[in-house]
Amino acid sequence: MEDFSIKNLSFKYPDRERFALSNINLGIKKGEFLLVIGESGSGKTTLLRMLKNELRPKGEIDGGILFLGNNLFELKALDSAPKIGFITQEPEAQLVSDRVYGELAFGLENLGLDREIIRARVGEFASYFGLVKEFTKPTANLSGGQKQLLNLASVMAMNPEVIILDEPTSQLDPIAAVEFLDALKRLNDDLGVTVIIAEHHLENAFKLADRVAYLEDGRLFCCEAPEGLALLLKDKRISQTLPVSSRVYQYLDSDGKCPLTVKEGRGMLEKYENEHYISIKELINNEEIISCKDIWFRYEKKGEDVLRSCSLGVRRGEFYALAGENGSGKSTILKLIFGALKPYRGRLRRRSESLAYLPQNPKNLFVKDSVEEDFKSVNNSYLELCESFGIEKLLSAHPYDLSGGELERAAICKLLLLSPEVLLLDEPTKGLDSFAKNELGMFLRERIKEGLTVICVTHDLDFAANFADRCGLLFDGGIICENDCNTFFSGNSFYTTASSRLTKGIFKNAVTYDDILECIKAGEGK
Amino acid sequence: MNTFRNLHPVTLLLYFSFVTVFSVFNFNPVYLCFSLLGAALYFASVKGVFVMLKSMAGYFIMLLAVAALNPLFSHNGATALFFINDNRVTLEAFCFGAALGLAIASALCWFSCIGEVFDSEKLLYLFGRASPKLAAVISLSLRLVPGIFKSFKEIHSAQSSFSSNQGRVRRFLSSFSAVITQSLENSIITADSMNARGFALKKRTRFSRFRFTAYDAGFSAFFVLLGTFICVGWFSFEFYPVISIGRLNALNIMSVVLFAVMSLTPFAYEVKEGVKWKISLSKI
Repeated sequence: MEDFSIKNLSFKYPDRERFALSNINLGIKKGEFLLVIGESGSGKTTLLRMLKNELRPKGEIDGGILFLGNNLFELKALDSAPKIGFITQEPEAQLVSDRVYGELAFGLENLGLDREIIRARVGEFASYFGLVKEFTKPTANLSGGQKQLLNLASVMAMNPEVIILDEPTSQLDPIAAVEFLDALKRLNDDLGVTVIIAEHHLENAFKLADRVAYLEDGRLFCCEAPEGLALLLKDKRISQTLPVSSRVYQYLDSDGKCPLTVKEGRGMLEKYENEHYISIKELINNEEIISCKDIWFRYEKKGEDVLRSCSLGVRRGEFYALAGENGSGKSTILKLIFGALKPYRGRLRRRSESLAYLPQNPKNLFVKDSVEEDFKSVNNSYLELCESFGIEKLLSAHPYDLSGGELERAAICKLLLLSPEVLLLDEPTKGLDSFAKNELGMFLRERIKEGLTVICVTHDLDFAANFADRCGLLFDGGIICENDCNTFFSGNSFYTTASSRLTKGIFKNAVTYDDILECIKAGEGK
Repeated sequence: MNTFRNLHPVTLLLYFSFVTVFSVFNFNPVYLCFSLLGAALYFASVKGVFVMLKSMAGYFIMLLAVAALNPLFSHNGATALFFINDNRVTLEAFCFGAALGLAIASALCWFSCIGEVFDSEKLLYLFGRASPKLAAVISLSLRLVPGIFKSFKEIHSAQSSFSSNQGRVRRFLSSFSAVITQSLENSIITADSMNARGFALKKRTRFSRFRFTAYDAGFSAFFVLLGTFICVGWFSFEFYPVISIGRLNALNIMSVVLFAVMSLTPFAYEVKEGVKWKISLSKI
């Protein structure tokens, strides 16, 4: 029995030339875990929203969709609401109630269910999702990961047949993202609920899927089991987003099944001997532009210390990445360096007073109706800068209409108009797909060549490994290890990139996919 | 531990409406003394003696001020104490001012107790009984309003990098308009999420964590009975032209006693439950 069967579906937004979806044929089986991938603008979101009556975009629809054998478009609203659950990427904005239990009960109240039934259902799902401690708390007190779990739980409380998720982990930190995906897999395994999920970070999601559908320019390129898909996508740009094991498999053209995890992937590389390594680049400049010596900081007089005897030195012209768990004080350090907060003990010295700070939400930097007006309010000679950065085509847009990557670059440009010497970035890769991240990284590297110093707080270890010069790990109020990126990541066994885990003990110091290729090529050259 | 505030919100509402109404529309110092005593003791049991004494000091100053000011505006009363600018300053006006101050103090004290007892959950429950849909909207705004303040703060501080380019007022205004735009954007997502979960398709029910048990019913009945008998035996206290108490009968005395019982109920409840808790612990 199929939950959805999509037949010859085409869709066009009003006033657009191009079809957002064209001629899609896809059957989604009951209990299937279907992953939808594709570059941004490929129609993932449109396709998912076509499956939910309440959220379907307006436009020209051709073809049809059957839900459990009946026409989806004619499904009664009272059936559609509970049977098809939908979760979007914003954990916060999706919440409706001020309290956790109110959120869990919201959908059930809408269905007019009896109070005692709601009580039982709400209790059951709060326990299943580990939200018991938070049950009576305000939703505002939850972390991003907990908020998204709550969204999932409150949809699940309505006993849906299918849940559709549109990039649900893009706003979460990597640990919360893995937890969320695991919870989703558990629901799929335990309850047999059908899962349709669009994701752009595949390192963890890829292996969970029964089938993966790849969309390209609104067309369904293929829908295959993940092992088979890797080979089909070999020459596509999208394969950059696949798990690193699968990418190495693609490159090597190995025989046998495509590996999806580090465990499966290590076998492929064993034949390469232990002699290939990545040499460590020497850092030329030793002048410290920012130096923190034994600084202590707490937010409230009676609160706990966030930073305890924390020391950190950033050199002129380097890209310094600062990693660490949620709540470890990463953002606090940035604010201290910027001068928005002051340490109560210790010495903090800045060799340059021209610093610029990019907050976690780059939207907050924009207050006008177009990017151009915002730039104009800072500095009138913005045109030159924008041309040299290649963002002049964004100028006329409203800041909120930009994609995540564009917004991030525009925000950095706005800060660069102040011609700072040090740029402080707080989680710049949050919500970006792999392509946007690469562009951002390259963009930053070019600015560094021009003499900028970048300090970046991030959860994204791959981003740090690919673009940073040095990396530090913040734990228990201080920097517990700090080194150049290759030494840093190859020294850690868990807090490191998948590439480093894949090659540990095989290639020395290889921490990115490019490093792995370099080692393989060196091995083949011999 | 079981506390007074764990009673059902409807019972609590009933209780607090009785005591505040009796305190506000009443200048009989006999009742008011018991009212203030009960409120202060309960407040102390919730927030601690020190906090209670601090607010009492404030009330006392206010009481003195009202007592001193009232004779300057009101010249009724038979017993003239002295004259200011040919105006009589009377003992009765002074006493009435003191009673007025007492009424305000006890009402304020009850209101601070109410603030401690009724959190947003209980208020929402009481409003939600009128309309479950309204309750959902109130709950939504309880979440949104602090969120808007938070994002205003974030935007405002993000703008501080550019502070040299604009004046303080303009920076404030532009942050404000950005907050409005962002909230509108987010509200679209919220609305989608509400629709996706079937909001406004049919008559909603309202889920709450409260259950009205026989225990709550008993207390409600107790409060209603007390309230009725207090009213029945109500005795009046006249300030003008001379301070006089009507002839007291048994009913009047009962009314005062019952009012004392009512005012002291929350405090007694806390004490009783505290003792019970200690005893049950010592039995383990």
